[in-house]
Amino acid sequence: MPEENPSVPRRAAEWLLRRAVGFWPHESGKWGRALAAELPSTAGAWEAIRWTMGGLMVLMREWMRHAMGSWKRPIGVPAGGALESQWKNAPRAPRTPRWVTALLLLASICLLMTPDARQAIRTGLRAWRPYGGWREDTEFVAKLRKEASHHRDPQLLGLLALMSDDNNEKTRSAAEAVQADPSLTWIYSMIRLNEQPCCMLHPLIEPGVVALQKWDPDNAVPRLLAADVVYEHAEKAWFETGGRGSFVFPEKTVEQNPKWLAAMDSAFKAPKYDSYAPKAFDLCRAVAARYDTHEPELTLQVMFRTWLWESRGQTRIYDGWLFEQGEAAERAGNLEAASAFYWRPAIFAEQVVSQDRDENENWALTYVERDSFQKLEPLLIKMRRTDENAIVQYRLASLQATIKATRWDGWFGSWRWYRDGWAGLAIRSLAIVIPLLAAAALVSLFIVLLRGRANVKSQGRGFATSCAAVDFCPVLLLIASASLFAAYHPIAVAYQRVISAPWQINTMGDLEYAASAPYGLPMALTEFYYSYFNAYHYWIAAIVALSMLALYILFRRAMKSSTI
Amino acid sequence: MGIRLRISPQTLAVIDSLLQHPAQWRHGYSLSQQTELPSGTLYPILMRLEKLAWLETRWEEPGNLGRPPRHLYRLTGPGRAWATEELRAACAKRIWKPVYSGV
Repeated sequence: MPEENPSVPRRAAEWLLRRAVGFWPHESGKWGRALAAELPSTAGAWEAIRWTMGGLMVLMREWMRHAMGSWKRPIGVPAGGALESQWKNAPRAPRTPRWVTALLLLASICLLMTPDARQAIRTGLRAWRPYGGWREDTEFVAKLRKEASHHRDPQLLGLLALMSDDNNEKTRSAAEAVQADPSLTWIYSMIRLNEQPCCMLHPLIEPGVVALQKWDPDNAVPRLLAADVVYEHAEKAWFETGGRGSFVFPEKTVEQNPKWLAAMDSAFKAPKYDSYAPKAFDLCRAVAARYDTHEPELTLQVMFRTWLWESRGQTRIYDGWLFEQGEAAERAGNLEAASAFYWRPAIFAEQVVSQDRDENENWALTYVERDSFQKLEPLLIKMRRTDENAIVQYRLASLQATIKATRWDGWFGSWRWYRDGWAGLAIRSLAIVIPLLAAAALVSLFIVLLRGRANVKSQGRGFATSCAAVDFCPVLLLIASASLFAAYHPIAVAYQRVISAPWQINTMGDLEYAASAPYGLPMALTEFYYSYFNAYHYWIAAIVALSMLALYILFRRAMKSSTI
Repeated sequence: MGIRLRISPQTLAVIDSLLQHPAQWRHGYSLSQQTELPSGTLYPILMRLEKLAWLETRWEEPGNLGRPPRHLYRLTGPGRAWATEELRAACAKRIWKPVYSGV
């Protein structure tokens, strides 16, 4: 019988067991009540406390069993509830057991936490930016800029000079880097300012070209840049006249400019050609290792800012001029002179190809050499130089075979990373799909957990969708994560292998491929994406798609109301 | 009997006690007092027996003011047969000597 004036320990024991019953798992709740119902029968406070302690132990055991058993049920399906008996066939209940869902999510998290997958998502999302995302406003450039402000490291300053889009920062960083470490003088060859056109006319650029010529006097590249400065002056003058006259006016002007002709002649006679591309990539690698910035985009930014577009432009103009001089000499009957003019572009191209390992430079000069030999071949026949012509024919056939072997599918076809762009498309797409799937999985789990305990019949279509999402999203997330890892891991391995190689990189192809692959697209999409990519087209497409969806919904509603 | 329980001395004590008056409904506390098992040991045994359908349970009719109805237990028909067999087996192996049931 209950005591009339229970002691404090007994009252405490009773209160504790009553509270414990409230926390008892649903499926074994009656045993909690059974334990509590016996408590008034216990004799004495100590006995009541012992009974309560035993009850609490049973409660813990039941909770453990409940927790273990719950892994077999889907999330949102409580034990002993209305859903438990019908979840296997109910459309409004998840069907995947909790332990399977947890395992799928855990496996996805493990995959996504790997450095390769994280880098793939970052790079994949950046790749969707217009023009491939080769912009300097990325977080790692900001990080490098911050480091540079603290350390004033010449190599880091040099790299910032190459990458920055800020003209003042470019010129200031380049000057400071070269002053601190004169072996970085080659940086001046790659400084391109953003004032288009005439980007070589910045007051700080011309002294840089002069310094470069002094630092590396035997190299053709500083001489080409000196010619470029002359060309930019001509171009500026042409712009100042309002562009009157022929569009090719600056080119024709420089062809009559003795300073430009002397610079180009000197460049074509230079004993060596070094575009400094390996130095740029060594700088990139050194800075990446020192400041722990292993982003392929860093390489891309350097790569796209270091091509010698201007010098190549000067070469093209000079080649044209040499061919014109050769044709004039041929017409005048001076075949020896014509032969000398035609040979010069070929000799220069051979020198570049043999001395410089930059594949992009070499690719352009292959065409120059071919044009040169095409001019020479009929001339040498006319001059009856059979042996010389045999060599020319052999080289011409070789060059034409090289050009033919290199697939050319439009503007992007020459780049290897666009030729197998399916990996790029997969990385880009999965970088978007994975966050969406993860968000869908988490939101649906939250909804199902929150509403799962309610009456199954009261759940609407939204709940049914959430249940389907709980079943499918973790599976899809794991597949997407594994696919992303599979698509990016070989690229990451290739990139790391090149970027961490203990020797100087001379062949840029592998590095270019590894850094650029995530930005690639299959050829059919490339032309469309880069021809039509702009916000306007995408807005139009989005509005059209949403309008069609709205029309469909309205049509469905109208049909439904008319049938009632 | 199909399913075999892990027969511990505590379980033998409980079934021995329940077999003393097989037709009689017993309270948890009285079982605890008779077998000297604490509630934390007794109730898991009862829960297992019920799950195997060897123990039937019911709630006491409400009547006593000031206290909740108690939970009552007794062995089912198959439960009695199983319990008797287990006690005999334990006796034969000399791991248990029935105290209450006289098996």
